[in-house]
Formats: sequence, structure tokens, C-alpha cells
Amino acid sequence: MRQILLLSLLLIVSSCVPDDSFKINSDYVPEQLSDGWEVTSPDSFGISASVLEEINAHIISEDEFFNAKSLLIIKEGHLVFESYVRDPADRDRYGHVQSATKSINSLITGIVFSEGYLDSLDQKLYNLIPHDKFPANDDKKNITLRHLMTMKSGLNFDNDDFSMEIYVGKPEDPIRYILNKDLYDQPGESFYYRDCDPHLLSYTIGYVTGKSLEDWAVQRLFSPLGISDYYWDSDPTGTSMGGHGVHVRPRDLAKIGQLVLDNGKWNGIQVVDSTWIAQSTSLQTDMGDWGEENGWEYGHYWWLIPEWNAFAAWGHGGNFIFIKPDQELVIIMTALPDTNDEMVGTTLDKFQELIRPLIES
Amino acid sequence: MNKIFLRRFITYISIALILSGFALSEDRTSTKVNTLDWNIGLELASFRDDLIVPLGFHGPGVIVGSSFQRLQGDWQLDMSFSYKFDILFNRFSHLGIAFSVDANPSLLKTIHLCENRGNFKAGLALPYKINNFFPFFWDDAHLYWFTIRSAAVAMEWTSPAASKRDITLHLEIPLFTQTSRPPVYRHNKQDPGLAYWGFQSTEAKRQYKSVSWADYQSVRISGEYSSTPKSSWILEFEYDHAAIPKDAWAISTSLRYARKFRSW
Repeated sequence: MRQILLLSLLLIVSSCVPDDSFKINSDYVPEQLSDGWEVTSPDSFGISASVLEEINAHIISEDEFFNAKSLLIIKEGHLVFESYVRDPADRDRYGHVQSATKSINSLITGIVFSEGYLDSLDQKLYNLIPHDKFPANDDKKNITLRHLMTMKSGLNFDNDDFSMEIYVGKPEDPIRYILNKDLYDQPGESFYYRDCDPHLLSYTIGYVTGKSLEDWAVQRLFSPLGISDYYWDSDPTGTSMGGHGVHVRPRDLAKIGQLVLDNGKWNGIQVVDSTWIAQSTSLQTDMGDWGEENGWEYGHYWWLIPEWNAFAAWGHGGNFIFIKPDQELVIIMTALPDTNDEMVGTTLDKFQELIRPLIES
Repeated sequence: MNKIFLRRFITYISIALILSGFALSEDRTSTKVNTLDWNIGLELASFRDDLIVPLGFHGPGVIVGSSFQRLQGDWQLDMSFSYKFDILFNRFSHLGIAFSVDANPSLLKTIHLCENRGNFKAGLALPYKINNFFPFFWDDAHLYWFTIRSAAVAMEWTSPAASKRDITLHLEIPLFTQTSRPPVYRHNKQDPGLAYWGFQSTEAKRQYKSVSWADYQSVRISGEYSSTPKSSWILEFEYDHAAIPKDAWAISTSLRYARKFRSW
């Protein structure tokens, strides 16, 4: 009997796979490459080494920021800090930035407006896309572009269901499918953050201009910024995903942040209209209870942090473009994109705690 | 289960039956004994897939299965099928689940040596295992699978008939294996299989590759104690490790109760 017990114990112990480290000790000193970024020492901008050391200690810890992949700090247009905490190769590898896609969608919508394809945010969707996309419900014909950009279409389509139904279920016509969802409130009445509104905007841009969101990005946003290694996911009928789906490299995400910080300019070229950027990164909607706890507000697909006079693109898992104009600061964080936010992922409030020493130093 | 999986599974079992049919037909004079049993049990399982994070996930699971055995002269044909479901945690209490399907036909022949020390058999097994790991705190959109189909050498030793306790030890080591693993990078927002609790198991994406011993190691050891002519206890240890495209392990120790429900 003793031998059987010993054998069982041995087998049970043998059944446990040991852990390995999942973070590496990054020295966070950026390498000068010929990719449009100028690398400069943080000392030149009066950034304390101890503050950066403290931030890096948090990001490389295996007890917090579990899914973090990278953290980049850009001060006055110079790359001063670059830490890859899972794999140094993540610098040259694109990753899914999840809902930070919405903020890129916002920039492209600004370009489309500048080109005259759209007249006003108060244009009704019904007057822009084929009428047969709409069900008989007259209320949905009142949805405007502004409602889409402020998450107020009123369509009852939660994000938890969206990917499964659109991406996996592959309805024959995703746009008709979305517009056939019930209304939880009249268009323009209630803020409800989800992916269906920016996806409807993506379809609208594609239909009105004849070019997809991705085509616009390549020609008018990524190309001027020198972004060539990317992937943009599309729905089963080929419409660029409007609420998620952009995969870019961390340094390229930083370029988008710097462009926004510089009011739409990159290397002296006005890529996105500065008025549009000012408008989309300022308060545009009443969020009700959504941002109350943390004091956040919402622009046109940008999260606003009034406490710091800053704003951010925020993608699930912990993918951020954080911009604080009064300090000429851009901070990028990338992370594994599909983690549980409560247990493994990095939410905006956790990210704020991470960078607080830098913001308040 | 989707049609592709079902078609492959039926083809696989049919090939195993045809091959074993040739072997059994050699010995038509002997008495045939066929038995069917069901079994149920508990296991301690451990999964780790470095495609998502190099952390071990450990926990308990349940197994249900059934097996068919035909004894004919020196030949023994076995056909077993089991389904496992495990609830796993890593050291941070991050939850994951694993569900595995395992089909294992084997054909063994008695080797007549040292018969006073028990009955020794050796032959070929064709294990087919689908290990699905869903570490949903780390990735709630994709499955991490580890599928193998092998040709394995199988050996079995049964205690002498005079022994008070009827004990059978079984060992399987793959000689030739094909595996399927997820790609390193996946751009799809969500695996379709997740819509159906993983039973579709992204089968359509499975690209099997032949692997060497350096890339895949596996062993299955079991001991069966027959407490009565109709029932037995089975203690089994399974180890699978694949090194491609990144390391992954599936290890389990199980204790099952098996009961014969039909003999003819």
C-alpha cells in the first residue's frame, strides 16, 4: 500500500509543469534607428532617472502589469525611454491595438471631412448609405455621424456579442445585421461604449468615398508617417473593422501620438486638420455614469483625462496612446490584447498609476 | 463536432479496424471474447503553452470514457475513447480550462517468454489526442491546441494468472508523430471554435506536421488493478511536450473506475 501511495504522490508531483519567467529586465534605453525617431537622453529634458527607474521596475515586475509588452516615452518629439518587457523583438513586430483603432478611425474621419466627402457631423446615416440597410424602424433613420462618433446611436449591440456575431457568425450583410438590432434608447440620448458605432462609421466612409478606412489610412495617414508594416482586420464582407483590428508596431503607434500632439502635423506636413484634432480630443458627449468614477470624459473616439489635461486612445488589454500637450509628452503602452482586464490586463486607471510619477514629477 | 473532424475521425478508426482485422483473421480457430466497458474518473492536469505565457496551469479534472476489447488467441484489439475536462489555475490564480479528446486503438500480440512471470504483449497503438487549452484570463479570444496523431509502440504486462491480484501495466511510446499547433501570430479577432464551446476546435485550421523526437516527446503509462471480474481501477500518467512553434506541455495523472457492461 505504501508503494502505491508513494507512486501516486510521485505521479501527482510529476504532473506539474514548472513556470518560467515571462518578463525580461529591459534597460529601457532606445536604440537610434533610421525610422523617423530621434533618440535623446531623458536628462536633456530634465526627466529624473529615478522616476524612469521606478516606472520600469513596475512594468518589468511579474506581479503586476502581467500582459505588458512595451512602454515608450516621447518627450518634445524625442524618444527618451523604450522598454520591451516580454521580448525585445516586439519592437519590430506589429501587435493588435484593439480599441485604439477607434482613435485612428477618428483621425481618418477628419481627413475624409477635409476632402469634402462629408459635410457635417449632423448628416444622417440614412442619407449616406443604401436605404435597404435600414429596417422599417423610423427611429434608426435619425442616427447621425455625430451619434456614431459619440457612442450614442442607441443600437443595442454589446461588445461581448459584437465580435462573436459579426466576426464569427459572419452574417451575410454585417451592416444590415447591426442596424437590425433593437434600440435601447433613442439615437443621441445615451452613451454606450461599443464597437458597432465605429464600424458603421467605417462602412459609411467606405461607401461614400469608394475607399475603405484602411485605404485612407495607407494613403493619407500611414504613408506620410512612414508606417508600412501593419495589418488592418476587416469584417467578412471586407469593410475595415472600425472599432478594433489595427495592428501596428509600438514606434509607429508613437508616431500617431506625436502627430496628434503636434495638431496633425508630421515633419512639417499637415496630415490631419488641426481643428478636427482639437474638436475630437475635447469633450463631445455626456457619458452618464461611464466615466464618473475615474473622472474621464469622451471626445470623438478619444478618452479625455481632465485631471491631467490629457487624453488617450485606449485599447483592450492595455494598448494606449497617451498624450499630454502641456508637457509635450506622448506615452505608448502595448500589451497582449485579449486578456481579462480585471485579472491580467491594464485598464486606463492602472496605466495612470504607472505613469503618475512622471506626470507629477 | 464539425464535418471535417467527424470525417477524419471515422477514417482514422476505419483504418485501425481494417489493419487489426487482417491481424485477427490469421487466427480463426481461437475463441473470441469481446468486452465493452465504460469508465469515469478524476485527474490532476497541468498545461503550459509558451505561445501565450510560460506559466504552468494546474488543476483537477474529470474523465469519462469507454473502451472495447477483443481477445482472440494471442491477439488483443483495444479501442478506447475518452473526454477530459479540467479547471486550471496558475500561481496567480488566473483561471483557464482544458478539454481533451482522446481516441486510442491498439493491437497487441502475446510474446511467449517467461510465462510464469506473467503475460507480456507488444504491438502498435495509434493514439489520436486533441488537447485544447483555453487560458481565458490571458486570452479570451483564442484556443491553444496541441493535437497529436501517432504510431506508437505499445507494451503490456499482466500479472501471472495464479496471482491474487490481477494487475496490468501498459506503456506507450510514439515512434512517428504528426502534431498540430496554433501559429505564433494570429490576426483573427476570435476563434470560431469558441462559439461552440471549442468543440469545433478550429479543426479547419489544423495543419499537421511530422515531428522528430527533438520536437515532440510523449509517454503514456497506466496500471490497471482488477478488483472484481467486472470492475477495475486504472491509474494513468500521460506526458506530452511539443517544442514547436514554442514549447507546450500537457501532463496528467488520472485515477479511473472502469466497469464492464457487456461481454460476448
